[in-house]
Amino acid sequence: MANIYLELTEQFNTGRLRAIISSGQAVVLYRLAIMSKDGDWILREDAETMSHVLGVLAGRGAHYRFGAPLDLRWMAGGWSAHFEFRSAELRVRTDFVTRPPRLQLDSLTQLWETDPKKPVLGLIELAEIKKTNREKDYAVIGELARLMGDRSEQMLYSRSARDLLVLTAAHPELVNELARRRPLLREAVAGQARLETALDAERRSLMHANEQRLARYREAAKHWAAAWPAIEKEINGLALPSAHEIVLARALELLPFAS
Amino acid sequence: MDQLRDEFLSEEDLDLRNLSEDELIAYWNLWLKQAQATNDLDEKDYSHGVFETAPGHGEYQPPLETSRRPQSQERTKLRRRSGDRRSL
Repeated sequence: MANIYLELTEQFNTGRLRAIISSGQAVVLYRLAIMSKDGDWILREDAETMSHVLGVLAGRGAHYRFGAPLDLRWMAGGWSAHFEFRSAELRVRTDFVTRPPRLQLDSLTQLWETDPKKPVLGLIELAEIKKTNREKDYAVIGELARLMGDRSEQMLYSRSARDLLVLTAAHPELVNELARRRPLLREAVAGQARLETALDAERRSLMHANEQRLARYREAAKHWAAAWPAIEKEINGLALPSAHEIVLARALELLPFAS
Repeated sequence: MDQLRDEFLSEEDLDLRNLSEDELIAYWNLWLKQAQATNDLDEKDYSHGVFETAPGHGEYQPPLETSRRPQSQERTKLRRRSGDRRSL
C-alpha cells in the first residue's frame, strides 16, 4: 500500500541515503500519533543531494513556498526550504533542513549511517527536534522517552514525574551524572510535586528558547519576507528549475546565509 | 511503576501500535485525506523549519486545530477490511 511521504522518501533516497524522515511523519512511523499534514526531512548537506531532491520535486510539479532556497549556503545556516504540490486529492507540503535545531554536528554526521531501509530519525534526535514552542510536542517527547531502551536516555527525556521517580529510585547512581545535563533530576528526592513543577518550568524554558531562535530567523528574513510577494508572482507558473534560479538570485540579495 | 500513569497521548493515538503495516498506512492516508478540509485555514502556516507564517498573513493568530481525526469506527472498518495484523 502506498503513502505519499513514504513514496517521496524512497525517491529522495534512490541510489543513496539523502533524506531522513523527521518530525510529524517520524512520529507516525513510531506509531505514537498522526498529528501533521506536512512532510519534514533532514537532508544530507551536499550539492548532489540538493540537486537530486529538487529534481524529484520538479517531477512532482512542486513550487516554492516562502522559505530559503534549497541551496547549501542557506541550509548550512540552519534555514529551511519549503515546497508544495498536489497529489490526487492531497495538498502535499515538503519541508527540508540540513541543520535541524538542537542536534550537534556529530549526531548529524551519524545520521548518514542510518539503515537506508529505515530512513527515520532516531528517538533521541526526534525528541530533541520536538523541543519546540508547541505544547503538543512535549506530549510526544513523553511517549518517545518511554520507547527509549536505555535507562539514562529515559531519565534525560522523560516528561513524567511518576516515571522519573521510579527511574531515579531504581538507578540512584545515575542521578548525579545525568543531573549535570538535566538539573531537574535533583528534584526527584523532593518528591512528585517538586518534580512536576520542575518539569513544567523546564518545558517553559525550552519553549522560550525555541521562540528566541525563531525570532532571530524572523529578524534575519525581514527583507526576504517583504520581497516575497513579488518573487512569488515572478515564479508563479514556472517549472521548479527555472523558479529555483530566480529564488536563488533574489535570495543572494536579500537573505543572509546565517541568521 | 505506580498504578497511576502520566498520560501524554490518547488511547486512540497509541492504538496505532496495534495496527498492521497495511492498516497503519490506510489509516494514515485516510487521516491525510480528511485533513485537507482545513487547507484554506492553514494556507499560510508552517509546521516545521524556521518560518512561522508566509508574508502578508497579518497579525499572529492562535494555531487552528488542523484536522479532524478519522472517527474510530472508520478505523475499525479499515481494520476489518485489511484483515491482517501488524507485522512489525
